[in-house]
Order: sequence, then C-alpha cells, then structure tokens
Amino acid sequence: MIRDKAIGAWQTGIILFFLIFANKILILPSLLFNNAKFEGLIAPIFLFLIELGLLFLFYKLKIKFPKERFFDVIKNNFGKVVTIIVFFLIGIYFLGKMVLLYNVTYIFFRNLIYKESNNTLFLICLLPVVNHLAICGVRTIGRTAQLFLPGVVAILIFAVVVGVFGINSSVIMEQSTFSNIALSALRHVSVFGDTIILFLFMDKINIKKGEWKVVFSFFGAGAASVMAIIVVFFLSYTYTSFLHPFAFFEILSYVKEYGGLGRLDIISMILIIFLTYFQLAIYLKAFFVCFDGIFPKLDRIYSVLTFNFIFIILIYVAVINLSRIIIYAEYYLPYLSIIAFIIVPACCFIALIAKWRKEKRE
Amino acid sequence: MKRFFKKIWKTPMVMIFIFITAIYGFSALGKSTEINRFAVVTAIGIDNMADENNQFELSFLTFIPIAEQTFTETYKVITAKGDSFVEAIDYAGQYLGREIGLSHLRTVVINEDLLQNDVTKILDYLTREKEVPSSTKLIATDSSAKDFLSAMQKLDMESSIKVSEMVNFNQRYITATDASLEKFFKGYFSPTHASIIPIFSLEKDEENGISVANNEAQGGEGGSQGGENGGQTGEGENISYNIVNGGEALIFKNGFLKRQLSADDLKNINYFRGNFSTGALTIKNFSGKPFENANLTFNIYDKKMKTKVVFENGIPVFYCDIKFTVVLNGVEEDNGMFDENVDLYLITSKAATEIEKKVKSNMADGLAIMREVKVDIADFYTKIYNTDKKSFKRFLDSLDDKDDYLNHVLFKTRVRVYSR
Repeated sequence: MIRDKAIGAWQTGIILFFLIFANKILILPSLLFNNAKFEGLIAPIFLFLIELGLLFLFYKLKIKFPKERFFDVIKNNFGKVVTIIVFFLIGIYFLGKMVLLYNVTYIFFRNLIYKESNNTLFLICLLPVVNHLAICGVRTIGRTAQLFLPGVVAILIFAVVVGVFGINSSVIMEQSTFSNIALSALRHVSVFGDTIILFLFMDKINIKKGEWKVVFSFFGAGAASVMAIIVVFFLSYTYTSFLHPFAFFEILSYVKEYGGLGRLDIISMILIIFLTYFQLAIYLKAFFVCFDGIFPKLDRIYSVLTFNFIFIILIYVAVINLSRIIIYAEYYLPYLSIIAFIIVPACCFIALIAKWRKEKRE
Repeated sequence: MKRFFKKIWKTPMVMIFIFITAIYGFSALGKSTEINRFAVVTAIGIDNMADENNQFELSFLTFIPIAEQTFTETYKVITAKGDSFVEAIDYAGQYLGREIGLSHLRTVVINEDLLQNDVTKILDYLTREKEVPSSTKLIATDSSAKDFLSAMQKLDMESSIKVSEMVNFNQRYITATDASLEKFFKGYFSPTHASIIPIFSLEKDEENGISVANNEAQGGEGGSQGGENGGQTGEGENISYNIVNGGEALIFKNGFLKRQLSADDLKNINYFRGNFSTGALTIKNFSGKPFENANLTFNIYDKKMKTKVVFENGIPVFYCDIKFTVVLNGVEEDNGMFDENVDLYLITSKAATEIEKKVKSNMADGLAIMREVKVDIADFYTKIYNTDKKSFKRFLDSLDDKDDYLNHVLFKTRVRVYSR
C-alpha cells in the first residue's frame, strides 16, 4: 500500500493552479461567447470571486481544524448519516465532472488530430495513468505537477504573448443584457467549484503560518491565466468566436494561420493532454476520498474497481459528441454544482460557527 | 537482467507503456499509410448548376502524394456534382478512389454567377468543417471556377506561384484586398454585416496578369467513330490564359452581393480601411520647384491613420487624420528626362497640398460608394459606437433607415504628407 503523504503550501498551490486553469481553456470561452457575446467574460470573473470565497472558507476551516479530516469535521457536527450523504454527493459530483472533462478532451483530439480514434483507444491510454497517479496519492500528484509546472507556465505565457500579437480587430461591447451574463454564469457554474477538493484533502495539507499567500497567489495566477486566454481568444476571433470550440488550441492555430509561425498548435495539444491527466487524477483522488469516507473498511481496490466500472459505463452510455456533452454540461451538471457551491460551504460554515461558539464557551 | 525485469514488474507505469505500445504500435503498422488513402485538396472551385438534381459543381485541385523512393507531386482537377457540398465531396472521393482531405485547403474559388444569391449558403459547410483552415483564401472569378482551377494548377507547375499567396499579399496593396473564410464571416457577423471578396479574372486576350499556357484539345471529327480510317484525335493547341489579379472586388451585406468595385473604387475605400504598405500617388501637370509641368509619381512608404469621433448636436462627426510618408520615384516631364537625382527631393508644401487634395478627393469618392450602397466596409460603426454608445444609439434611433447611417455621419479628413 502506497502511503499518502502530506503536501505543503507550494504543492497545494500548484494543484489549485492546475484545477483552476485546466478545464476552462477548451470549450468554455466559445460557449461564453455563444451565450453572452463579449460580455461573456464577466461570467468567469463573477464565478472566480465565488470560488475565491470557497478558498477563504477553506483557509478558515484549516486554521480551526488543522489536523482533522473533512469527514470528521462534518461528522462531529451533523452525524454520520448526513456526512455519508454529503460525501456520496461529492463523489457523484466529481464523477460527473470527470465525465465532462474526459469527453471534452476526447472530442478535441478526435476532431482535430485523429479522426479514427475511438473511445476504447482513448480510455486505454488515459485510464491506467490516471488511476496510477490517483492511487499514488496527493503528494505524488503534487510533486509531479510541480515538475511539469515550468513547462505549463512557459507554454501558457508563450500562447498569450503570441496571441496578443495576433490581435488586430476592435469589437463592440454591451451587446448582451445582465440576464444573458447571469444565465451564462449559471450554465457554466459546473466548470468551477474545484476548490472543494482542498476540503477533501485537508488532513493531507500542511501549510505553515505565513505560507497561505502562496496558495492564494496560485489561485490568482490560475484565474488570471484563464481570463487572459478568454480575452485573447475573443479578440482574435471576435464575432466568429462561437465557431471555434477549442479556445486554447484555436489561439495558437490563429497565430499559425495568420502569423506564419509554423505548427504551434502542437504545443497546445501537449499542454492540454498533460493538464487533462492531472485534473482527472485529482478528481479521481477526490472520488477515492469520498469512497473511503463512505466505506472505511473496504480496501482501495474496491474504490478503484467501482470508479472504473461506473466511469466506463457512463462514458459509453452518456456521450459522445460535442452537442450532447454541451447539453450535459450546460443543463444537467449545474444542478450538481449545488453540492460545491451550497452544500459543502453551508456545512463548513455551520462547523466553523459551532467551533467558534465552543471556543467562546470554553 | 533478472533485476531489470523485476524492477519493471514493480513499476506498473512501465508495464502500461509496454502494453499500449505493443497493442497500438503494432496495429498501426498494419494500417495503410495516410498518403495512400488521402487526396490532398489544395483548392476548391464552386460553379453553379442549373440542374434539377444538382445544386453545385465542385472542382477540386488535388495533390495526390505517391510514396516511392522519392515523392512525386501529381496535381489533378477532379469535378463532382451534388445537391450539397457533402454529396459532391463524397462523389469526388468516389471518382478518385481516395478520401478527400481538406486540411491543406488554401483557396476557394467561387463563380460569380453563384454570388447573386446568399453566399453564406455556399460557404456554410466550409466554415463548419473542422478540417478546413479558417485562413483559407476566398476569391471570386468571372469565368468558370473549374477552368480557373486548371489555370491555377498550370501556374503552380510552371512557376510555383500560388494564387493563395497572391491573395495573401494583396493586403499590402492599396489597390487590392485579401479575403479568407474567417475574415468573410467576421464581417458577416459584425454589426455592419459587411464583407468583401476579391475578383480574379481568367482572360484569353489580356495584357495584364500572369500568363499561363493551357493545352486545349481541339476535338477532331470522328474521334469516337473508330472504323478503318481510325479516329482523328485532334491536335493540341497552345492557348495562353492570363490570371488577372486586377484589384476588383465584390462587397456583400448580410451575405448578399451589393456592388462590384473597380480597382480605383477599392483604392478609394482602402484609404479608410486598408493596412496597406505600398501604393502609388500620381500628380499630373505639377509645376513647382524644380519641376515644370511634370507628372510626379510618389510611392506611399508608410500610412498612419488616427480617428476621433465627436458628437455635435447628436450627430457623429468622424475625424480622420492620415499621415503619409511618401517617396518620389517617378518624374515625367515634357522636356525629356529630368536631370536631377530625386532621391534627395524633399516634398514642398505645394506638392504636399496637391497630394492632400488628391487623397481627400479619392476618400470622398470612396465614402460616396459606401454611402450609396449603404455598406460600412471600413467599419466606422465600431469606432463610433465605442466612442459614445448612448449617443450613437440615439442617433440611429433618429434615422428613418438605420442602415443608412453613413449618409448622416459627418466626415472630416486631414491629410498630412511627409518625405521619407
């Protein structure tokens, strides 16, 4: 059995950066434009602010319960049944997000690189690695992510800089109403809320006093990166942004086609596949934590088998084309986001108040 | 060795890697190579079909890669008809015995006859097909698109000049315009709904343009009759075609053709819209030190335009401040060859005034065209809107015809000319 060791502030920050950044750079910008034109970029700002609130809540929770498991924090305040229900819902939430992320990446590669690829081929290449990374634990994920971070940052900066040089159009704003923007934010809320993973790993996170600014800085860097990509994408493709569903790839593709810089789009593909591996592994680890919480006496092999069994069924049944996955992401998955944005914060909030009252009594 | 295998056995990722390589690596070896499966299309020509069953006639300039010891490039024009793009593409693949690959598509040539109707219906498939690069150049031709593709093929074989590169280069010139699928649809979906496509002509007896030799077979009598006399197969006759990139263009609004522009019209409009970096300005019968009654030709070396919009009494006033850096590089005098080095000529205020007058007059003509057809091809709309949204909306609401806003906007231009 591989021991799941703890991670420090840097690794927590890097994991958070990958979570914030990875699943928002492909189809999200195009969908935002589709729903709310150029004002669509207000929706992620709004959602990032809520997510920042979640991170702040985690900070408070970690200060008050430095060594405790999230499962125990909830159990001590709400009892075992409620805790199991909450963890069951969180497990379902991450499974749903994995199905979305897997499908988006699969469709991206199938449409743009290898038309003859099929689900089986993609699953065989992806699932073993993701399973292995998740089984190895949070520390392994964090250290590996740390290793890849310079490359990811270099590609990101490169894409944004060359993308900025490719911009040569001006656009008009205020084409959408507030309701369009709000609706767009609601429809794409499921792509956000990944910060609750930190709650699940809270007993594995060791952040010393004064190191919290590292975590918050990585959060800010991740959010800024996503916004930079959305802005560059919107200003490159302007009124035809809705015709280009894979934003990060399209930015480099635009530079390639109009700037004559050669096959830059390959760089974006490398980044996307790395980010997908990491994010799926982190989601899977979250699923394992939930499974272990619900069935504490079962061995890890049961959670691995359960996940793979359910995931493969969902992949084969629930997908696989772009329009179906967009309906899934925009109309069904947002309901599951209630778990991340309401249920978990509410539980934490109540636990914090209870702790505060207890301390006051003492 | 034993230790090595033991180590591998304990490292699951190595096992997974070996497993994936073994299955997919070897299965990939058994597949036919892509160069034997695909016909790489580099240009598509679209012609009109007045046929009950077929809407389009598509011609594909295909590059068929043949892998031998060395690669040989064979180009062929394939034609297929169909009621839709997809159908015609399928037929073309069927005729050719290969899949049609569009990822290297560089040019789409549309017969002008098709442009009388909504052009977006023709281009819809190409925009949505993920394989087609959005930078694919778009041109119209007054001849058959199929013939144009044949001429393109000959041109490429003879001289390696590619029409797509010619279109791309057009953006440098004041008398021309480039267009791609992306640019066309950016214009179409923009608030002005205005797009532009350049025209390339294919002329038999034309002095301009690039000459392309074309072997046109003259069909002999009895060619198919056989018999003891045998068939007279006909003799090939060399006919020279000229591909003319004359600077003419078509402007569209909401996908519908509004007007054909001559090269001069386009030049006048390009003062507002173009990012051109070269162009000629000629002043005729100029008298002023050191010239006397001379025709002076200046080359535009650099152009910078600043715009400002001010609302006066609710009406937008569009200020255009254009700076030209010019170089004198042509002098024609009645008295023969001008006997001074013009490299050192510093433009005089009189010459500058003459150029300014000419440019202002040209710009007024360009504006008149846009006003006449109510197409804002220079995208003044965005600049005015971004200056003061509320005032502009009020201004538009006050108009009987909102599309006619160009006729109600005041334009004030200032032209400044500098020597290089």
